[in-house]
Amino acid sequence: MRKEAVVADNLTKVFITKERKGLFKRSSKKKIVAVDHVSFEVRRGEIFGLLGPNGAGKTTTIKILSTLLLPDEGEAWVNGYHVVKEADRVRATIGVSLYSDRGFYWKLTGRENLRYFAYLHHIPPREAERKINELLELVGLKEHADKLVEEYSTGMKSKLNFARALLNDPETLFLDEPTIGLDPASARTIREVIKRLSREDKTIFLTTHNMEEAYFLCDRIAIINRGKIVAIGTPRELKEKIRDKNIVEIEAVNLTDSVVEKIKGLEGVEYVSVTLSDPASFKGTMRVTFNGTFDECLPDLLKVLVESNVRLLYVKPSEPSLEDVFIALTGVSFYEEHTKGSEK
Amino acid sequence: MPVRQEISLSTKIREIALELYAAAYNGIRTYFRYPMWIISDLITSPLWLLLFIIPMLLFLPPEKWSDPTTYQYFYWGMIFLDVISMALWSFGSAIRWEQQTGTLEYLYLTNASRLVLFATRMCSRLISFTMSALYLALLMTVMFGAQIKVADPLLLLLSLFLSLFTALGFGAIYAALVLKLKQVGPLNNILQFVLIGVSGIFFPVDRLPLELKVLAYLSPFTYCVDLVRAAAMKTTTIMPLWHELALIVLLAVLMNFIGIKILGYIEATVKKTGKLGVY
Amino acid sequence: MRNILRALRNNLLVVYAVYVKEMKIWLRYPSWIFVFITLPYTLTGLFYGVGYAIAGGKAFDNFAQNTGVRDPLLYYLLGSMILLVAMIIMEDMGASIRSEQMRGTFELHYLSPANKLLLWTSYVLPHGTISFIVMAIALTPPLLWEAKSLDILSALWTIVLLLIGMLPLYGIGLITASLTIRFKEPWSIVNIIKAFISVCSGFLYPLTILPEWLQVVSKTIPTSYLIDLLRDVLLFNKKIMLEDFRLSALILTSLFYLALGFGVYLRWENYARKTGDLSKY
Repeated sequence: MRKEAVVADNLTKVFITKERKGLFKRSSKKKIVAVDHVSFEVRRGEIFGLLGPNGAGKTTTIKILSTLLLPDEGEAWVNGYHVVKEADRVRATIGVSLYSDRGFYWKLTGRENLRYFAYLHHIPPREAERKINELLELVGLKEHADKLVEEYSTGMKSKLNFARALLNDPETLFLDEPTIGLDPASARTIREVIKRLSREDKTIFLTTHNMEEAYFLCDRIAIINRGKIVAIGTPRELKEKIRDKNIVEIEAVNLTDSVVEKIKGLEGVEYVSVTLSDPASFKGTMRVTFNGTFDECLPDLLKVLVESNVRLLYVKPSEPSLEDVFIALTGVSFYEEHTKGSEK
Repeated sequence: MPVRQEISLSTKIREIALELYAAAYNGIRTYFRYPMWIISDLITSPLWLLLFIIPMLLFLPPEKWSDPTTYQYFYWGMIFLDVISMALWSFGSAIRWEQQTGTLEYLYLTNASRLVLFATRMCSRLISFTMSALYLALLMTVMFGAQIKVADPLLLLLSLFLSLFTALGFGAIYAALVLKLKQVGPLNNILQFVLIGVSGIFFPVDRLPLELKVLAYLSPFTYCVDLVRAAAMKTTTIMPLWHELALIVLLAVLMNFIGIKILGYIEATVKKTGKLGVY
Repeated sequence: MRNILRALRNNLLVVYAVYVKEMKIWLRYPSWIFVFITLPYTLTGLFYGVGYAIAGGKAFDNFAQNTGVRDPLLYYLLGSMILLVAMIIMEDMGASIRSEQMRGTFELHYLSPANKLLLWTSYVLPHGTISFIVMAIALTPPLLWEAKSLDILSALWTIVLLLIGMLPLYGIGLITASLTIRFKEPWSIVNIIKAFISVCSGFLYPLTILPEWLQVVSKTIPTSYLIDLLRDVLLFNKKIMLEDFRLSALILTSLFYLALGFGVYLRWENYARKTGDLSKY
């Protein structure tokens, strides 16, 4: 039996969209490569994260692996079964939670929804009841189980979605943004459940754009951007990729675009990313990645900041983050790509 | 490679039974949680009946408006129409409903038979059909003084079942269109009217002009409704009874085969274009 | 004065925005054009065919005896067209609101300063008027052929009557809109309303055929006067007099239904704002 739970080999998916300019003008076709020759392997029992901004190809990848989407090129196997030729066997051994506010029957209760899907998975009624009670307890929905789904909040629907993915006791779980829309306590519960499931030798394949979540939850992470995998490894291995770089974190006021451009032009500076907490006063946090030592680069950096009337709040060396890894590998900020992907 | 276990016939039967039960479970529970639908059906049935029948009665002299045979034709025509509507539109409307609630992709993540999946609508329609058949018979008696009788109940049940089964094949094609195009639009209304006109649902086709008669003989529903009338009203069938039964069974199997193939093809197409979950 | 002009411009902008959005969506599914052109003919053909099949050669004589009209074609075409347009206008606002709820865009409209009444009303414009125009174009050839002595005055009367007749349907449309906001799935109630209006208006038959008590109910439905007046103008080539009781009844009942629609809509919208129903689907 293969060690790998999921194998993707050169997966490619191209969508054709139409650009319509007006009521009576001809529309032009545009090709969008959502997944571009993606290859990776996921070991049994590990928590594998697919990290990327919006529009990177995460959901498309999950849909191919869960048989909802047919790839244009390449192949994939899940739990040893081919996702196209043996799709029914794949479906019998996976659980999927897709990100969506919909996906349930509003006029059925949470319990009734689970019961329905349990039967569709061919789980006999008695076993289904036992399983449903267990899962409702697990996700913290027991007291709301007999309310109609139309009365559920977004967070409750997310939990019910997660419970549904576990109904058929799958070997591999595909979770698309599992904690989105959840309050911190509920998100923590779900993460703990994910960890527990992994200890029970279930393979978890999750997508997220939350870097902290990916870092703390996943055994290995694949960073994806514009349909391509740019790096795969454990969080530590990914950070090692920019081991030779130094990063300084600066919190200041008046971090205008011209200041950032000046810093980018300094010798030794490779990347600069800015996150503004108060756009009106240009107050925020700047992370500067440079390939020299602190002694070599810091004086020039501070000189530029002082001459530009930047009010410094703190300056400190920093450990590389996944955001820094992303910038190093793609040349652009994760959050810029995330915004562009949302606009797409 | 993992060990592949072949599924036994008994297991397969059990699985299909569970799927059917799930479909019935969902359909019936949802139906009874919208009690206004049932009330609306009770109130509007006589009204739509009037709206449909009166324009046709205008072609008869007033003294013939109480002719029981005319109302028998209308009644069984309405029953037949309800049965084939159930099969024709249930699948397509079920798919549309699943697209709207966002559950379609989750259904496709299971290995349940696609046809059984969409039988959720059919289950609630069967309940409403039974109620409306009885209710309509009562209305016919109260409003028009017509007594609805059944000559051969067993043959009637068989003919209605075969009609439903025949319409299922068309229903699968319509469902495929909904899966692909999402909004099939009111084209189905036109199709329904054409079917009613060509298939002689309210009258024997031998009264049609030759050109339309030829068209009628090409429609499988002509034979289906002919059989229903023969069972209910003891009318003469177009061809000998057993020949007509055999023809209907053959057409039903053929239409379902084509329908399932088309549905499967369209499923692969929407999975290819990524439009499965699009609402 | 400037404020009035600004308000007028803003309202027109709202109408324009809805109109363009809906037309773009409609034109991406152009099958409706074919449907609106053929549906009155399909319905007419059905009654024609079945009627002829059950009555045989004496079909048209019987029809003339029952309706006073020799040729059923124009009778049914006119009735079918008004019936279909009435159905569209009655349910369109509710259907549009339901569509917005399902897409999750309904609540977002309430974040804009646009007048909501005007906003939902604007949906009727592209749907109701375009469907009416398409059907009218489809029916003009037989209308002109049959109503050979149709003069300018009669044509003008036709348009005026249709415009007045659409007002109560718009009022009913507001009621279905308010039901949709409140109940989300109002189709059962809308179905009942449509069934009553369709039957009691006599679009497809003379009202004298109905039982007495139903004829009394018909007198409260404006579209019953509408179709009666239109038949007089187009089928019987009669002149409409201003003192015609049916004209006054049409105007009064139309205004009543319009006012009722406004009242019901405003009440339920207010209720939905208080209970949080705006965000539910």
